[in-house]
Amino acid sequence: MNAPLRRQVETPASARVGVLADPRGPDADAFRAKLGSAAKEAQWFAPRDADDLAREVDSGALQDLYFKDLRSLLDGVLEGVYNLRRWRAQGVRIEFLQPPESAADERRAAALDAILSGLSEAAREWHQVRRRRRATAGVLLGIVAVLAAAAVTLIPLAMR
Amino acid sequence: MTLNTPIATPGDSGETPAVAGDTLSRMTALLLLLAVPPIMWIGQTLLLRAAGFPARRRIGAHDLPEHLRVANRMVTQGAIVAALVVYPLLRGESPAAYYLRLLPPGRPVWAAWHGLAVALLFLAMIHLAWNIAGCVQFSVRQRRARIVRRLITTPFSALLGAGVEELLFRGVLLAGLLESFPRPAAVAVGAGCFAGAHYVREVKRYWTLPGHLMLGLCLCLAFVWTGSLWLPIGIHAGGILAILAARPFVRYAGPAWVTGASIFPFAGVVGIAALAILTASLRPWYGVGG
Repeated sequence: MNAPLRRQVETPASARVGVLADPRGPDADAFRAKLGSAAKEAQWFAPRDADDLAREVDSGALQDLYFKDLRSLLDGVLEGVYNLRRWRAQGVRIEFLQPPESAADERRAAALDAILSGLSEAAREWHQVRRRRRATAGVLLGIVAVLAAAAVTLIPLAMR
Repeated sequence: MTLNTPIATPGDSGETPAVAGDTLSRMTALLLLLAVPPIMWIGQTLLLRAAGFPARRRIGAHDLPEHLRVANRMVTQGAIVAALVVYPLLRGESPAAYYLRLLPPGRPVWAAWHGLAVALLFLAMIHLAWNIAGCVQFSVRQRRARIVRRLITTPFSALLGAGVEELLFRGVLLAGLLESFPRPAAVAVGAGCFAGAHYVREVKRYWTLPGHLMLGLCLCLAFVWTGSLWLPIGIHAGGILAILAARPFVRYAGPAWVTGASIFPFAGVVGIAALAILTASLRPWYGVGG
């Protein structure tokens, strides 16, 4: 895709490829097909290991990144794991398995529009999900804490 | 209120050491433990040579093929089991008799449940605080089948991990040290060895050492105060249980100095403080003169 995130630079032969996907997941074969011969040298990161991928990119070890779609990239951006500004400065290239539709027409404005609207939608959903997860985690941790506190109080009585 | 009899040491006048031994064998525990890393390194070197790889200065096999990693792990486990078996035999006791003495039946067993509850309480409380502060993020991070498998096996992993480490570091090492050194020195050396042992292998990060030192101190004092392994096993198993069970759902957003990292939530400032408070909170129940 020719989205603004991708800089048109020559990729050195030694450039390393990173893929954010489970190598045994449902999209693995599609990624391998897209990567072609580069699949052999690609480094795979399960989505939960986005931090590790970011660390590798920040250190300059990875140059070409492959994501399933815009959403999977934005998840990391919104969680504060990926620093796209820094990556652009490093000349990191980003490719999607399923590029945003409007990016296919090569028009920068349309691609930017797609990214921004995707960003907006993803941010809204992400904050909703985050609030829900926080509340759920709070309730569950509260239950564990109350049960444990009861046990801490009662068990010494049984030991007398 | 004191819920258990504290373990006696040479410095305690009028008390018989809980674990008796002659003078010559007093350093046996420390020497046995110190022999484990060289055995691990020799085992690793032999395995690497046999597989056509060059020898390594550090112990670490994370980048080796699976069969070599498994073999390496077996060497480590074999060395630990050997130390656990050999130590009582060198003292002229059967391993069963020796360890059963440190695991008395009846009411002392409740200390394990107490320790487990205390560990769960403290970990739940600090994760609750981090959740409010946004330092941790909760989501389902693995496939459902894997999570179910993990949650089923976690209690066994926690019990096995805590059991083996407590037998080795408290049942062998600290019990041995208490026969040779005054109690504070034995506890300090015991905690230091426990912490250091977690860095014998090549690891991703070393700044977690103070957290391990504090954990070692907590577990050593739990053993010294109760004279049995039940309380340290409970605390240790509770910690492993909570951390492993939460792992598929937690991402530590940091900062790392607050939350620790990954499987070391006790390594940050909050975790170390929580461990110190946990230890202090146990003293009125189990500590001498409590």
